Formats: sequence, structure tokens, C-alpha cells
Amino acid sequence: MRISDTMMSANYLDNLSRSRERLMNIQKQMASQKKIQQPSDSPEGTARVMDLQSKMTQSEVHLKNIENSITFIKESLSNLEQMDTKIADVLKTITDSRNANLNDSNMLDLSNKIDSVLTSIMDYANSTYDGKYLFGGTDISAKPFGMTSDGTAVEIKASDITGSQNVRISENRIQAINLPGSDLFSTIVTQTGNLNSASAVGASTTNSSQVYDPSGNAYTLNVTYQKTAANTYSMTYDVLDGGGASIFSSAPAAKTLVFDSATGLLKTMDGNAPSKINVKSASNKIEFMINPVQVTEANSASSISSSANQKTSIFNTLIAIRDNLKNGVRPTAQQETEVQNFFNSLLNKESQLGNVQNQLESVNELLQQKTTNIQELVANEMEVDMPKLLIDLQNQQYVLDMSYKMASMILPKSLMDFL
Amino acid sequence: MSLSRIFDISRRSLATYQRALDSTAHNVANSANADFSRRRVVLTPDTPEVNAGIVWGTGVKLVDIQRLRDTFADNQIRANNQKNSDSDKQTQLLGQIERSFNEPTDQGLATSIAGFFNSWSSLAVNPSSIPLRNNLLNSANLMTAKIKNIHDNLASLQETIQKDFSSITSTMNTALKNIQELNRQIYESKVMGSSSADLEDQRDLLIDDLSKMVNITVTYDSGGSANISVGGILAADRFNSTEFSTKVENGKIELIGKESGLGVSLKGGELNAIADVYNNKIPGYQGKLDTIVNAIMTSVNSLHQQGTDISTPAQGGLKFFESYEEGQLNLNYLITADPRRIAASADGSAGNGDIAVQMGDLLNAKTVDGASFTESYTNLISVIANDYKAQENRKEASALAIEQMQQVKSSVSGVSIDEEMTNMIRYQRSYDASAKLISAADELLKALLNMV
Repeated sequence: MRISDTMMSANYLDNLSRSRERLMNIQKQMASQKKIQQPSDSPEGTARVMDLQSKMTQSEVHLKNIENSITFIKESLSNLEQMDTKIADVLKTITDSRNANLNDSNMLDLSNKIDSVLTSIMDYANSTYDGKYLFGGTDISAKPFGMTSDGTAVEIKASDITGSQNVRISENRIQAINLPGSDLFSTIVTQTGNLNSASAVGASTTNSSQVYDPSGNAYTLNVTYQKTAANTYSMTYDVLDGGGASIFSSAPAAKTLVFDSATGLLKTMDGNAPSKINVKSASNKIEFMINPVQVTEANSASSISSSANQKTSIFNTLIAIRDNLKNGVRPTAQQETEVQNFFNSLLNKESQLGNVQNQLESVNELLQQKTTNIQELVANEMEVDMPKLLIDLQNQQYVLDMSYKMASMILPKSLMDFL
Repeated sequence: MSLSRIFDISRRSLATYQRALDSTAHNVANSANADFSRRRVVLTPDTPEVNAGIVWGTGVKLVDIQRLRDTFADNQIRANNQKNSDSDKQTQLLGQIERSFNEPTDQGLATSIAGFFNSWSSLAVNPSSIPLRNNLLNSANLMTAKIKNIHDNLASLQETIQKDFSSITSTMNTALKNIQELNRQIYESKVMGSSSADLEDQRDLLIDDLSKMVNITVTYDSGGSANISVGGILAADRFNSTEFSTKVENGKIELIGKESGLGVSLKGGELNAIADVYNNKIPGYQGKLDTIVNAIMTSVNSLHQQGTDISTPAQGGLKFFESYEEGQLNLNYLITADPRRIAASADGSAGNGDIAVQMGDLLNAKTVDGASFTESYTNLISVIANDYKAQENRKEASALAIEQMQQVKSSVSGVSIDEEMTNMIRYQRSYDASAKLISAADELLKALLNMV
């Protein structure tokens, strides 16, 4: 092949340019400490990095959510522990009041003790953290608990204290971080049993049970389930006083319950997820909840029963004990049982919240591990291997130097040099 | 045979080798000119004379100074020029597009999209918190700003390359005009019997440049004129050159004949690269981004309308985003004016954050053709990166082909100093010998004269 001078210089320049390009790439990587500066440097690597970064930011948010949730739970637990100490004092006071030698003055002292506990328990029940009532459910508009207008009883002031505050703590898990006030302080009439799926449309079943006002007066709660269509029932309720008259000026609105035809479980209530129903009558100071969530539909005769967790709230029990002691009347065994039940319930809830805290801490550890792993993977994709890069740099520099040397020796030579 | 014949032969020989040395000098002078085609002198014995039944040689004559050129290499280089400049331009433009997205960095849109949905997840921890609501608004504003920024960058690039297209068209028109003029001059030189080699070099250089701008076909007629057609339209010959112009209609850019209005079928060169990026790539990428943004808007609005805010009394049914037009994702002004209008609650209570939780979950929901928002966006980035990579590979392949064909071309047309020096010595020695012949003939003549 005939070799012209431009061939030699063009060939040399092409190779030199390639060598310098390789050198520049290494220098760019060293300066930025990144293997991927543009997506086209590694389209697959970029996709992996972006995916990992998205997962990492999500994990970081979940970690932050957990951190805040743990603080909230710790605050709730602290209040529950304070409450259980106070309730233990109440139980001791009740035991003390059994002493036959107590005079009126002693009884008054005990009454004052109970009053002090009542105030404390109210404070704990209404305590807040980060602008939220710890036991107010999801209603932040008003203090959850307060005295009735006549000052004789405690009632729920918030419109709803049953709400759960749900927080996403991992990709697959949502956790309720609050203890709804209703779980501790509300009287809940839980309905159990089944409705007959084979019954005709129009057939109805009624369950009757007792509910009480703060003074201990009994009322009759009638809950009626009437079939309106397949798997669908209209639920109505009424509360009757001792004379058999309804305490409501107008009948409460009926609820539409729809059961799952396959499992028989309650699927929706008025089109939403099933929940507890608040029942309140200010004039009678009646306040309780109906929980129909456990009612099922089955192909057997309808059978509905109910049970209540307490006759009245701990506040009103304490008010009754206080007022009795003030009048020289010792607490009844029923009242002592109610206080003991509340104490047990407190311990139970403390244990539940403690478990939630433990779970959050476990998820926290897992997420931290996950974040570390992701960071490592991102680093593998993105970050340069400096020792390798230094060796490559030295190698390329050596090649370039050689090229320059060769060029300086060969390029100027021609026949002219020897003429 | 007379002594004067020696003088004649030697004189012609001197003139011939002087011209040969001229040609060598021309070659040496252009040895560093990559676009120069070396010249080669063609010497033949002069027409012999027959005298007294004997054939007498009459010396040497220079019949031609050839311009050495490999037409096959020329055609291959031009064909690869079209591919190479197409890919090179696309690589440049795709690099700019790639940089508009700013990935994979913390400043990219992927991080902002994740940040927006993560802010919802954070809000669920304390749904009534105004600072957290403001954080959410900030992250929404950041995301919308990034979306707008990408849109504006792409629109600005389209505007710039439209000007680039017009500018290249104008350069192309000038080149075609010059080619037509050179064709005419080459033809006239040939008719007059003078050398047109330098003119041909100039013309071929213009044709090479033209092949980088647009897909051309070159044919040569018997008069030595190069007939150029651009995308099937006759663009230049010895008599005429066609002017082209840019047409932008319905968001598409096109090269058309200025007078005929006929569209050119672009298949290569920088103009094809620009047209492809302008007409297909940028609208394609923007379209994919629009699909993602619209999906975000629809999903977020749909969920937001189901929730309630923390105003008194609690209200619902509000859209989070008002509209998405021209890259601008507009937040509902009621929400930007009052963060309490953000609907995070599913049950009407201010402390409920179930809608916020569900909003956070949208980040992983398979909403856009079976992919999540970030997956879909990552796919878009991958498409751009792979388009760039494909063009870069094409560019490297065509550059290698050009390099190889340049070697072939240079092997034929390039000047070799070694060769020229050898020729110079050869011509110089022949010149010296011819001079010596005159001197010898002179001695002979002198000897004869002395005899008189």
C-alpha cells in the first residue's frame, strides 16, 4: 500500500485523540468521584441507581415516621403509666375505706383523695403531644373529656374519639400509633352472633340489653336488624328509660349493613368500613357505643347477643365514689370491680402499646439495615474505584507519553532528511 | 540526422522536466493539505520521425498532469459522512436533552416525585400539622418546578435547533451555488484544454462538506460536472442550483425546495438529525413525561377529592392540582393560599391521615401502563440514554468506516514526501542530462566549425 504523509499524521492523530479521550474520561471520573455522570454512561446502571434512590428516600421517610411514632407511643405509655399509678391509689383508698373505724372526717379525706385522682386522670386523658390529643382519636377540635354543664358527670366532648391514626412504617405495613380514647374510657356494647342468611326480606331480629347513666340508672337498649335485600340489613336502635319511653326526640338514623356473601363477615356500614356507633343523649347523660363489627351472617337461625365492657366510664365511677365518700357512704363492691377492671384494662393497653413500640423498633432496625444495603448498592453503581482508576490513569498517561515520543521520532522523518 | 535535432530534443526535454519539477513542487507545497489530490505527470516519447527509411525518436513530451482520486473511496466517505454527521449531531442534541433531566442526581425529577409522595406519608404522622402541610406544598412546588424546567429546556432546545436547521440550510444553499459555479468553471477549463484539477479539488471539498449536512447523491457527466441531488431533488449541476428553505408546520420541521415547495426526504446528515430530534424525539420524550404527569395529577386529584381538609367545617371534593398545560402543573390556588385545605383525612376528623397514607402509597402504585410513576420516569430516562448510546455507537462505526476510507483515499491522493523527493531527483537528473546533451551537441558543433 502506498503510504502518504497525511496518512501517517491522520493515523497518529486519531490514535492520539482516542488515547486522550480515555484519559479525559478517567480524569472526569476522578474529579466527580462518580462512574455515572450522565444516564448514557450506563443506561442500565442509571435505571438501577434511580430505582434504588427512590427506595432509599422512601425508607428514610418510613424511618422518620417510625421515629415520630415511637415518640408519640412513648408519650402515650408514659400517661398510661401515670394513670395506672393513680388508679392503684384509688384501689388502696377503696380498701382503706373498708375500715370500720373511719369517721366522717376520714371519709372526707378519702373523698378528697379520689377527687385529686379524678383531676389527674382527666388531665392525663386530655393530654397532648405535638398538638394532638393522645387519647382523642382523630378528632383534634376539642378536648376529648370534660364535665357536663351541671358539673355532675364527665362526658365525651369530642365528636369522635374512636379514630385510629394510621402511619405507613414500611413498604408493606401501616401501623395505628394511637390508643383511641374509646378503647379505655367508653362504654362499648358489643353485638355478637349471627343473622340468618336464609331469612326472607323483611324478617327482623332484635337484641335488648342494659345501659346506665352516670347515676347508675338502667336503660334498655334495643338493636334491631331487618333484612332489606340479600346480605343487606337495616340496623336501628333505641334507648328506653325505666318507663319504657325513648330517650330520643326523633329516632336515630338507620344504618345499612352489608355482609360478605362468601365469608359472612360484615363488609360495609353505610358504604364505609364498619365502625362503632356513638350513642349520646345529653339530657339523660347517656353515653355509650354500639359495636356491630362482630355480627356475622350465616345459614342458621338468627341469634344476637350483647355485652358491655363497663356500666359507665371510670370518670363517672370515680365521681360516684367521691360523692359517696363525701356523704359517708363506702364504695360498693360493684364500683370496686369497675375500678379494678379499668386498672386491668390500663395494664392491658400498656402492654399492647409496648408491643407496638417493640414492633416499630424492630422495623426501624430492619429499615436501617435496608437503607445501609441500598446505600452500598448505589455506591457500587455510582462511586469510582479510586485505586483502579489511579492505575488506569497511570497506564493511559504512559501510553500517551509513548505516543508523543514515537511521534516526535517518526513523524518528521522523510527522504529529505537524508539527501 | 542533423545536430540541430539534438538541440531540439534536449530543449523539449528541459521544458518537460521543468514542468515535471513544477508539478512536484506543487505536490510538495500541498503535502500538508488533507484536501489536496496529488498530481502525477504523464510522460511519453514524442512522435517519432521517419527519415531515409529509419524511425528517428524525437524525445519526450508531457501529455498530462493527472489528478489522482479514488472515486469509490469518495463515494464511501460521503455515504458515511451522512451517517456520521447525522449520529454526531443526534449525539450532541441527545446529550443536551439528557442533561435537561439532570439524572441520576438528587436534583432530578425522580427525587422530586418521590419527595412529593413521601411528604404525604410524613403528613400522615400528624395530619393536622401546618408545618407538615407546608412541607408538602413545598415538595409539590419543587416537583412542578422540575417538570416545568424540563419542559422549558426541551422547548428551548427545539427553538435553538430550528434556527440551527435554517442556518445549515442556508450554508447548504451557498455550497450548492458554489458547486454549480465550479462545475461551470471546470467545464470551461476542460473545453479550453487547461487543467481543472485545483477547481475539482475545491468542488469535491464542497461536496464532502455538503454530504455532512444532508443526504446527497453525486453523479459525474462527461463534461466533468458533478450533478448533485438532495433527497431526490436535483440540487446542482453545471447550469443551475436549487435553493432550499425551512418549513415548520404543526410542530414538524421540514426541508423544502424554495420554489417548488416540494419536501425533501431526509435520510442522513445534520439536517436529518435535527429533523428527527425536532419532529420525533423531543415530542416523544415530552409526551411520555406528560403521560406520567397527567397520571400523577389524575391519581392525586381522585384521591384528594375523596378526603376532607382541616378547615372549619371540614370540606372535601377539592382537586389538589388544577391543570397541566405546557409543562406547568398548577396546584389548586385554594390549597396554596391555605394549606389547611389539603385533604388528608378519610373520615372528616382532622387527626385522621388515611388519605395521606394512601397518597404516599401512590408512589409504588402501578398507575402508568403497569408501572409506578418513578418506574415509568426511569424508563423514560433509560430510553433517552439508550437512544444516545445507539447514536454514539453508530457514530463510532461510521467514523471508523470514514477513517478506513480516508486511508484508502489518502493512499491514492495524498502526497508522499519520499515519493516527491525521489521524483525530484529523477526529474533533476533528467534535466541535468538534457542540459549536458546541449553542451555535448555544442562541443560537436564547435568541433565542426573549427574544421572550417
